[in-house]
Amino acid sequence: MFGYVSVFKDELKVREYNIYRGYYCGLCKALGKHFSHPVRMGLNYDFAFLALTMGAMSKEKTEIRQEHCVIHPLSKRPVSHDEQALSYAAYMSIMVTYFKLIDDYNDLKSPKSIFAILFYKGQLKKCKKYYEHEYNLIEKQLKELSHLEKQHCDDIDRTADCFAKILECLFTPSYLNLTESEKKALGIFGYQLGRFIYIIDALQDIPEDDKHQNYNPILLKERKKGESVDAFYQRIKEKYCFTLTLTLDAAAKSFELIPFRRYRPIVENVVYLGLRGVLDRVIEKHGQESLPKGEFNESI
Amino acid sequence: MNPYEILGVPQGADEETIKKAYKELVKKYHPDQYANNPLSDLAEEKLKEINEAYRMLMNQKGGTAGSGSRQSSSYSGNPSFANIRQLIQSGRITEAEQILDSMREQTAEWNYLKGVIAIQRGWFDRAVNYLNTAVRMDPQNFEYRNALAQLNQRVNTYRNVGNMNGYGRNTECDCCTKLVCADCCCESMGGDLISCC
Repeated sequence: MFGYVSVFKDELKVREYNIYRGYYCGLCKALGKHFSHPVRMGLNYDFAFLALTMGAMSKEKTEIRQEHCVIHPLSKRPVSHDEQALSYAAYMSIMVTYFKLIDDYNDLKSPKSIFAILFYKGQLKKCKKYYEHEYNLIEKQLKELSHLEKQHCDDIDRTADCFAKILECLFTPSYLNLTESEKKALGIFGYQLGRFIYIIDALQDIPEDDKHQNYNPILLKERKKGESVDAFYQRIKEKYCFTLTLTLDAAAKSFELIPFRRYRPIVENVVYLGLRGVLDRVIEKHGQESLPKGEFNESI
Repeated sequence: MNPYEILGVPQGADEETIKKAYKELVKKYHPDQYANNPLSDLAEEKLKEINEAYRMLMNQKGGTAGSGSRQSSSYSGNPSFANIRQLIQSGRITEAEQILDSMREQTAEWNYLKGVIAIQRGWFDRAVNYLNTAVRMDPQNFEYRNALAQLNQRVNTYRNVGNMNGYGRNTECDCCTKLVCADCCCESMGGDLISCC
């Protein structure tokens, strides 16, 4: 479900691009530092973006250092040392990935899940200790989502809402000591981002879900009997492009009201260019192609 | 507060720069942009701040400062829905929805109000369905058509910002490049596609 947040590289300054990448590499290192190396497989740009947005609410000057890492021992890469934001995002990433894996195992009995759960289970106690509110909310929302899936819920707004509520919570951590207005604006920003990720993932998965008879709320709601996947996609793509663009617009409207202290152009790039590019690609390629990770540098 | 910072202009900027920045910000945070948006009160605050900053700078420069217009919407429709509209206006959408859900008859106005609540929640798929139903049931009603038009407007506004900031620039360049290439090929074979180059 993850890995849809992207920047439109062409319109970022090199310095800004290095910060963006720095948070990704920084998150990897934070996961290794606070947890263990195998859980780094939960690393993705969505959580790196969470860390960056949290970092954007701070006035501090972040260091971006060129460093080696385990996976890339030969070349140095920019790495952020915004410890507070990165450790927060690392904890959130562990919890969301863990509960998602539990659901995958329960629904699909996939062997990958069993393997992964073994590594994550040990780390969970620490997460619950420091972030009990988030822990409980993530567990509750993903359970609710799983429940709706089992009931073959075809109401995309309702199922997206379960996931959106998680991001709403994640984007308003208590450690930031947000004012009421900041919390409101960031909350809706996170909510709409979560809604976007859920729905675009459902769109992207249509061919695969059709092949394996997996749950997909869009297929359930919209598909006519005997209709081919291609014809189906052609018929519904405008409608979902519209609803997803409205979602991005809602995220943008919230973005304009968040008092970022730094990194504003990077978040702006994601909101107005990066995510739009992801949407256009998914619509255009009918979910048949896998997307570039975290960035793209040409429009369709 | 620093009025230059609020308007996003350099310290000591000239009147023309200030006016231009002001116009753009008013457009961005205008109440119409935040209609049916749970953040409308925040946007209103922001607009107040912007107007104040502009007034300060214009007074300094000795010019006159107009302010961004504040349009208030007027309600029409069945009086029994007036209470529900009030609740929606004050952000009490859960209460408003509860009353609507307890009603038996699903009139055009009922669908319209369900749509408005859905927009505020950010549940756009059902919002569009409800509004389409309202318009279908009462095609002459301007309020319902306007709500749909507003959603289309949001999509355009969002895309415009991206376009102004470089989205799709490559394809525009491609178009011109292709035309020039086509013209050259044409000329090399004795014809002429574009006469002026």
